[in-house]
Amino acid sequence: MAMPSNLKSDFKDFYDQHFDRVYRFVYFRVRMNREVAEDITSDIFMKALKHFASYDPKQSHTAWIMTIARNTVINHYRDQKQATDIDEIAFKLEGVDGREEFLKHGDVMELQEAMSHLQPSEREMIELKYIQGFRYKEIGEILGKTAGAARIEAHRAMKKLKELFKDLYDVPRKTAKEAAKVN
Amino acid sequence: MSLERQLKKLQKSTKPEREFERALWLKLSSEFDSEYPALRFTWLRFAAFPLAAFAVFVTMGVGTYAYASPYVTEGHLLHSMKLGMERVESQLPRGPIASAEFHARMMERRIAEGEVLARQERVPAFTLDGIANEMDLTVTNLASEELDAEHRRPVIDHLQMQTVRYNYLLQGYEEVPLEAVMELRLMIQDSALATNEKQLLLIELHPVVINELSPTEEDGELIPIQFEEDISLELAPQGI
Repeated sequence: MAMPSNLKSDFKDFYDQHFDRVYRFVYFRVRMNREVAEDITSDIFMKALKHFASYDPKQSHTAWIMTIARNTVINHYRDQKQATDIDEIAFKLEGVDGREEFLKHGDVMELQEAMSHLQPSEREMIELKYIQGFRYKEIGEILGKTAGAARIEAHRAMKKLKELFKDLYDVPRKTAKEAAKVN
Repeated sequence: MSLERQLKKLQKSTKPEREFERALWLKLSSEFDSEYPALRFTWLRFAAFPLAAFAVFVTMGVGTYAYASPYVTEGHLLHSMKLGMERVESQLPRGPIASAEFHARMMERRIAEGEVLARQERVPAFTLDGIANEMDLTVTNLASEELDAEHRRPVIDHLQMQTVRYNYLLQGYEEVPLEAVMELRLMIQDSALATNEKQLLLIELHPVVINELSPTEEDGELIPIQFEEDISLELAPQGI
């Protein structure tokens, strides 16, 4: 355990390193509602602070905070008495406050549409690697895989997304459903 | 707009507000002080300046060694210092070509470390992962839409040489780590590099891959390599 005099600066480093990623992880799972994402992100870091001194430094910081983040989002839905699969809901916008804000970025809607045709695990890979910018080693730690396995899965998910994207937007007459069937 | 650009755009558009980040830190900071009251080391206050000056003096010399030496590998006392310096360098602002050059250099460094470890008969599994990671970052930066073939070529040449060294490194293993080779192979094939650039890199992976990997159904997706006429390499019957 770090000495208390260093603990605060360690925690600040930890906060700086993980803040964006934790926020985005939550944001994509609360239907892109900024206000809700900020509330939940605050809760997550507050929980991390309470347990930071007893945290085992041999474990991965990234895997630790992402586990807290996942559990806090699950609890958020449980508190609202909603049975929601948070991986299934990731990147979905239907019937939510965040939609209007997100629609300002019209072309990103294409990406969201293509992403919705991926399997939840593929979507998670794309999110962790290409949107969150995690290293393969970190992804492996978060998902309990080797870095090599994470790399191969991320490449395959990206390849599938590219094909879906091409089918959806390079051939205008093909509907999203037809494109999804192809893949 | 390309998929890569849309992903970048999504990354940017979903950035948290900096105001929120600052406000949350202020709240956490005050909560932290009540959760963990600080210990007071009064003697340390007096010694702080000379200690800091000494630390800077020592760190500068030691840091240069740590940064440059392939002998500083995982488990070495200075390894975390080396990683820290590399992390700082990787954060410096740069364009795609400078980033590609940086990661190609880092790949070379990981290979040099792997060679040292191989001489010490320590299986450098984590080094192989480090090499693959740097290769991935190099290729990703190289494939940037802003770069033309002329700018990419010197880095491709450098990568090609590193791939040869990588092959030699793999030969030190009793059993070739196929997963590591497959990773590099898929990474090159799935990249947005031009076909001839992919060929240049895959040719160098060829001797290990061809002897140790037999194509499976999954490999059906791998691209066939069309060699130029002046490149005479013996391909296995199945091809890559």
